Amino acid sequence: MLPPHGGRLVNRVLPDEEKDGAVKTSTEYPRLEVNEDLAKDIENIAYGVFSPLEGFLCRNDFEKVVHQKRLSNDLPWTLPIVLDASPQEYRGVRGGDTITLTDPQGAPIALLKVDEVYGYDKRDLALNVYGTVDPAHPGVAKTFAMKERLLGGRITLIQRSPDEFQKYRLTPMETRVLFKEKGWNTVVGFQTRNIPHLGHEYVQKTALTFVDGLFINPVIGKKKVGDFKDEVILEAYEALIRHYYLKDLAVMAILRTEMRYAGPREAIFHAIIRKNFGCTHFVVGRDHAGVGKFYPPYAAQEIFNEFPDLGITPLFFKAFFFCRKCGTVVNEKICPHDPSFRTDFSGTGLRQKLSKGEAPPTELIRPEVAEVLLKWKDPFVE
Amino acid sequence: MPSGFTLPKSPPRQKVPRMREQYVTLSIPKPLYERAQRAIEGTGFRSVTEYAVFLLRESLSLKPGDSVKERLRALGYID
Repeated sequence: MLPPHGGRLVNRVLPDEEKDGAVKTSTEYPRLEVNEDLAKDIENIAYGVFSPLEGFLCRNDFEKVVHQKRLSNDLPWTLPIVLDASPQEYRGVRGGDTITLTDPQGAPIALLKVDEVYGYDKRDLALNVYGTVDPAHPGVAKTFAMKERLLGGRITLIQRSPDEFQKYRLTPMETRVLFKEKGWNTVVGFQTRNIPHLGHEYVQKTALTFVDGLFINPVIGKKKVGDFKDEVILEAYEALIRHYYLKDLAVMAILRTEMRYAGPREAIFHAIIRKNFGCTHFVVGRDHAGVGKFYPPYAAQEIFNEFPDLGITPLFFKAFFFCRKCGTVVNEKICPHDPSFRTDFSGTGLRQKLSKGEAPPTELIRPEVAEVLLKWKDPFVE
Repeated sequence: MPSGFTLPKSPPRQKVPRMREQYVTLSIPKPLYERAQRAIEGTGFRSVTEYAVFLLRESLSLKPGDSVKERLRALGYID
């Protein structure tokens, strides 16, 4: 198993016996409310998912990450994990101060030991991280809506958020113990935001052929209208694993973080996260973490050339489809037949079928998975 | 004492380690100590020290990661 990124699994979680005292003490500090996405980032930092980060980036690391895709110690890191604040929120806050980060209801989530408060260039940030300043890109829109200053410093998690998916919430420490218990020396991580179809299954099983175990790691969080609900995705995967995978070779746990849609940079970020979970390999397909047509289809694979020191091994897959001539799921590299034989895995087509209560073709979706999808009255985010 | 009787020489005094050389002192946060004091009220533990020694011996008999394994087992990830 690979060591965590940076060599050590970060643990910024307050021990249980200190929590009550910390909750009381937290009322003495200035308070800053964070949204759901930031709350997830805080937990990810605290439990080591974002190792080696121990808090929100300070200016030096921020500038290096934005412009050079590395931390100031030269460790690969491609997405800035930052905490923004408005003038009202950071007024009077200086380096050395402690502030309490709260949820929208005012409950304390974490303490932040502020190292510095600094300004930044939003346009420069968007252009470097997303490769564009087009406001149609969701990441660009979010960047320009960020507040004026950034607060850098270490966090200490006081309280973990409640979540209905507790069964699937494993920390990197837990996944590492799990993989070791299963006797897995090599593990491939698979990221998904969707219900499983045969294309996904094909990629997972091809990857699994070369390693000891498969770690299916759906990203759970903010959804767009028309996406499948998180609970539908998890139940669909449970059905797939139960019926089509050897019990000791595949496990699933969730990753709670927002999608940035930063394409290539986010592919590296996602690979680092799975390295922290204990994976030795990571699947990168066509247009990983992309949106619209902002990134060339295989840019998220090519960027790995810039990081020979990443540690985790990417497994690259070309676009896959069902070929009626081959009679199975294939990809561009291994199918010699005319495109007229292809059936693409179309999300739109699938939604249309399900909306009518019809099971999709079995060459696209396993019947057991279709049964799960059809069981839900409203499987889509509205 | 009868004459000619000689008391046997006392064996050389053996060096017995003093009590304090058999123990080390650990520091724990005061809130934790107070919490432990409350926890042992009405139990058979006479002091927090006795309780801490008991817990430490118990936890050392487990391998690291056992509590994590228990959670994984409870969630169905391992048998």
